Amino acid sequence: MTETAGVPGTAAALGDRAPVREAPVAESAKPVLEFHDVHKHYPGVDALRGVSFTLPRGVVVGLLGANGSGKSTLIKLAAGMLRPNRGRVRVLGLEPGRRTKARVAYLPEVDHLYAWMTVAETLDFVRRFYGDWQPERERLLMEELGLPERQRVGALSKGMRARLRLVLALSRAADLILLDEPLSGIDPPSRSRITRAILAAYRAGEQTLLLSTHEVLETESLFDRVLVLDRGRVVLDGDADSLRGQAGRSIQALLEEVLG
Amino acid sequence: MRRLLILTVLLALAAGCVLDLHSNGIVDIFGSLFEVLDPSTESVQQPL
Amino acid sequence: MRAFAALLRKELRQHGPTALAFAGVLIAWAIVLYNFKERWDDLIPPLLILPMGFTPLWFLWRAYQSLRAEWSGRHAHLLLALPVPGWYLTLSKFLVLLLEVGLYAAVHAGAIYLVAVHDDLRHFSSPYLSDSVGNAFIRATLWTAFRTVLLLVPHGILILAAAYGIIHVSWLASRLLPLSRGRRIVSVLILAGLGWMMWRGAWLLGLALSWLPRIPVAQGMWIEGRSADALWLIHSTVTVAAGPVVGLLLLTAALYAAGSWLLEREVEL
Repeated sequence: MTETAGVPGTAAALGDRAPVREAPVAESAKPVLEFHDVHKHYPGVDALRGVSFTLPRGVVVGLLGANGSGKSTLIKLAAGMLRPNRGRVRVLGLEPGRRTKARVAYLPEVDHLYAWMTVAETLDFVRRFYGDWQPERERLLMEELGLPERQRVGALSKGMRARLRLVLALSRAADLILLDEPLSGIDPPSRSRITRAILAAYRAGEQTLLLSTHEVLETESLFDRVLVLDRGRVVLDGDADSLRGQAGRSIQALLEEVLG
Repeated sequence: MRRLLILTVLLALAAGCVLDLHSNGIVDIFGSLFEVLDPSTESVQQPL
Repeated sequence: MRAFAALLRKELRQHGPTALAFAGVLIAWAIVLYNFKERWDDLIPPLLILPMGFTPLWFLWRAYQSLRAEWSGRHAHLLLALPVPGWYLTLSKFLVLLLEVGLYAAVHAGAIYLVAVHDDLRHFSSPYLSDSVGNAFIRATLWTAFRTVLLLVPHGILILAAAYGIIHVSWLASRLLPLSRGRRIVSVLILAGLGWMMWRGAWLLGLALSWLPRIPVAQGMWIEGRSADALWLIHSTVTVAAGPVVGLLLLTAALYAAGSWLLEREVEL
């Protein structure tokens, strides 16, 4: 399996406007995701209030916070599903749009699949849009997560549908992977299986993974960096190991302390 | 900003529609397009 | 193109079974009417046309549902994350809906021909025409009718495309406003405004493009005369000014471009 095979495919999907003229070194040195003083309001709610951070290539970032802290809003802004009211979001130096969508894998919090498609049809439908699709990675994930190809999505359990959504997001050699609550509503034994699958599919050093979750205990071993949101503001941003070292306890315990 | 632009376009559309209805009436507005479309029939006769 | 084909195939798979089932119902209805045509005689033409009256309503409903269902089913998270231009989504949906309506129209046309026209033509007789001339006349009439259908189809597609675009854009535009309720009413108001804009725009462009040549939209053929010695074959063509048609075409293209932009750049989830 050659993981770099997806890179030329991505460039092809981006067409002539892809930044192919730049040297590979410059591309890899470029931040994968940048938020500069980003504000996002919904009617009656300030979901994000001046969020700023930069994510380099090749890190796993845990996006943590209570319900309503702005985690999903942040992920949607990076995925190009929302636009900021103020501030600037950049993915690989570009404003989120069609070009960045070719390089970002997004797993939304909601169940967005078509119930009438089979598992195989769903994979076949989605893979046709992305030049960075990795058939070998798809096969491994399908095996690891035990998904029945011929079954209709509507007939799958909630947990199995969550696994399928994960296969869709992780089967690509995307530069940025955005996983919004991938463990939400999944029973504990399946959670560890999904965490293992994420770890197996993720290519360290090549991809940036931003994972929002409430299940900190199950996932904190994955994180290189932790970003904690509280009521639309970043209240903690740091290297996971340093934070553990400083506090002398788990990220979960630290989170409980930070969020009161 | 762009939202404001879209809202302005929609409001301008609504204002234009109401003004047009007020000054020309719905029958005239409907008829105007058919008038400019000007359907006509040309017939050719030939003995059988 | 691969991405567009995938979207088209998805739409076909999603709506094909329902469309085929409806077409089956229409065929069954035609068979019932064919078997009762002697007994119901005068009722046959209105009963044949009856389902046809519902086709435009069905088109409008499906056009409205085509995006709404993607949002209510949360599939918009999948579709809007795809790296494709917004018009890929719009056009794939419209083309499949057009195919669906085309299928119903074809079934209707077939039913009308078989139930109401075919037998009458077979027993056609005229005191003025010999059998061979009569048969030639029937063939020519059918050919003229077929040509009229060919002339009308592009205009029909244009009107459906414009209607679809108006519904599509008004629904998308209503989603841009920060409303907690009353979105449906706002959507209907925008729809009315866009409808007015297209109507008046086609009129204005029609005036501006009045120099374009006229275009034929229908043809007819019939026989006139009082005796076998003085019969005339009348061949008539209905033409319209091309200006408003071209105007509507340009406006529809602009509407689809606007819809594409809204879908790609403005609509939020």
